[in-house]
Amino acid sequence: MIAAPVLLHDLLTAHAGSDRCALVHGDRTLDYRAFNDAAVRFAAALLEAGLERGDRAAIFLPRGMEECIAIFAVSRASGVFVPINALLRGQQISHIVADCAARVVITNRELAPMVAECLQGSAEARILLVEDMAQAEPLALPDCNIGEDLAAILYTSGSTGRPKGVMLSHRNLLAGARIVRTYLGITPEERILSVLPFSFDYGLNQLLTAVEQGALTVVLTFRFGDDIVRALRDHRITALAGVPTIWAILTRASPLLHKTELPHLRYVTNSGGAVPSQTVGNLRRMLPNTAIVLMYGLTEAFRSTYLPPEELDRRPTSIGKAIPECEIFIVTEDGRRAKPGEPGILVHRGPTVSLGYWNRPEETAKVLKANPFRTPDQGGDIVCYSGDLAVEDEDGFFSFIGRNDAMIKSSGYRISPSEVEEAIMATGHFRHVAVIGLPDDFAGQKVHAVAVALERDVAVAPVLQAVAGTLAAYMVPRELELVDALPVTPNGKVDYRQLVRERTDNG
Amino acid sequence: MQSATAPADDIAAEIYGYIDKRFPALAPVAPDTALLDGAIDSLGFLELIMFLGERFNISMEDDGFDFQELATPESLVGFVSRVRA
Repeated sequence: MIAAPVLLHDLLTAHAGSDRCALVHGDRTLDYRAFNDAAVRFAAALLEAGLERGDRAAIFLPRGMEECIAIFAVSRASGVFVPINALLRGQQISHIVADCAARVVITNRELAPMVAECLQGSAEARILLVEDMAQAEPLALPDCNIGEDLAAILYTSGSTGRPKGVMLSHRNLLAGARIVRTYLGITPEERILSVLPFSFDYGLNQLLTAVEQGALTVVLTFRFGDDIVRALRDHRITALAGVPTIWAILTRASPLLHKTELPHLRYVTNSGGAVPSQTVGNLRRMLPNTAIVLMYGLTEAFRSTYLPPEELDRRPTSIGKAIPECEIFIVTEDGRRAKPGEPGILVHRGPTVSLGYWNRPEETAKVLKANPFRTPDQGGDIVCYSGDLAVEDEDGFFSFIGRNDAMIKSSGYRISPSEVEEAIMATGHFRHVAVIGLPDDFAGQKVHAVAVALERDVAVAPVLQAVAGTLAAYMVPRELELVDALPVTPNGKVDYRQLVRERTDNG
Repeated sequence: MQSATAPADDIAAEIYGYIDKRFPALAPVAPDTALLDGAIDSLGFLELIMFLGERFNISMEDDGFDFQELATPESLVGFVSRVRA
């Protein structure tokens, strides 16, 4: 009898004897046997460095094989992996490492000096280099975790404050892999192109579905749409996951796509924001043999809905129905289950509901709550309130309306206005600043700052330049607008909705 | 369109101005500032390409367009001037 996988690394050890190709990055390839062997060596290095069960191991690496190996190795060593997006800057990195109290940071020789500098005085993590970890002698590894143990912490932003760590158990990650593999029909023959960061739940899920099936993942770092088209063609890719920005790039700025037949591309999936209908139409025209699957998820519930491709023509703006094994419902402001057509908060229940935010019980309590329609003493479970306003139609399909808070979503990234405001205020030139998201054709929303300056003649360009030094590029405001005063609500708070309205209504 | 007769200096001023404003981390750009080695993300390149299309009527579908033209502000200005000459 073959035991069902329980822990993240079980997905990989199931293929430990396979010489099938697991990973491709640039000119390098790695088969499953070598992938597993490398994960065992990395795990041994983690134990030697003192990692104990449940300890956090942050991973700060450029996209590539070592990052994939490290993810499975931390699980193999009974630790908790915390992937950090390689685009983040010094203070953002040290925030994550300190917030999760990481025991180690896994990085490489090239990045190590930068990591060491940004950890100085803020975090006591030990730095491990993948170049050394690859040389570690295999050790007997502990095997004490169960599915309920923590496997990963993914940092993501909300409407306020610094990023928070969403805690995912092994059970959450395996459920996400199993569910998505089921509805996308992923098999060992799949050849998946990965262009999204593994610090993003959807990018991570893509890797896990591939490993679960023993399929191929090609890891790509791209600058231009044509880089993606070449990878799709040359690796005979069957599956691509993207965010709205990527579809804009492919349909508007990839001349090669018009000249390239992609008969192998079975499906593409979108998450991280709505794709404009026009872009969906263009994609359909350019990829006539490829199914387009619109998906929706939030890190707090890992994955939530998808629209079966055959429904796309009828419901081009829908986010679809609940993924297998999960239930989605809409709850009104007064706590009722919404009727069709009635907007409310999208609530998710099922095995992908996360364990909440690391060390933030109050914030967790706002998102993870008792099932509103079944009491705990009658078997009621914990459900996830998304904070997304949505509506269900007569046929049970959901559509996204907007956020019920000030959180910004740009290029698939969640951005907290207050984190950007803090960086702008730190320049010392402003009395007040408010950061809002404005509609953008390519990014979904663009970051826009409205500020009241301390002096009349403050120059905007140097301020943005300073902010670009402390924040990841996707968080830097596209514009910094100077005003005499910010609008306030009757209770004296900055009126963010009004700021957005003034800039989106046509007069 | 006003730009139809713009001399190379005006093209340069406009392109440098756009890059400075859109990518503050690079400002002020020099002729040899490297644009392809991570300074600009993929969304940034999309917007830069859309800007070239809208402002100078340059399409990547044109024969002879190579993404290497975007390597530095100088190469970009040279490319736009050649195409429009």
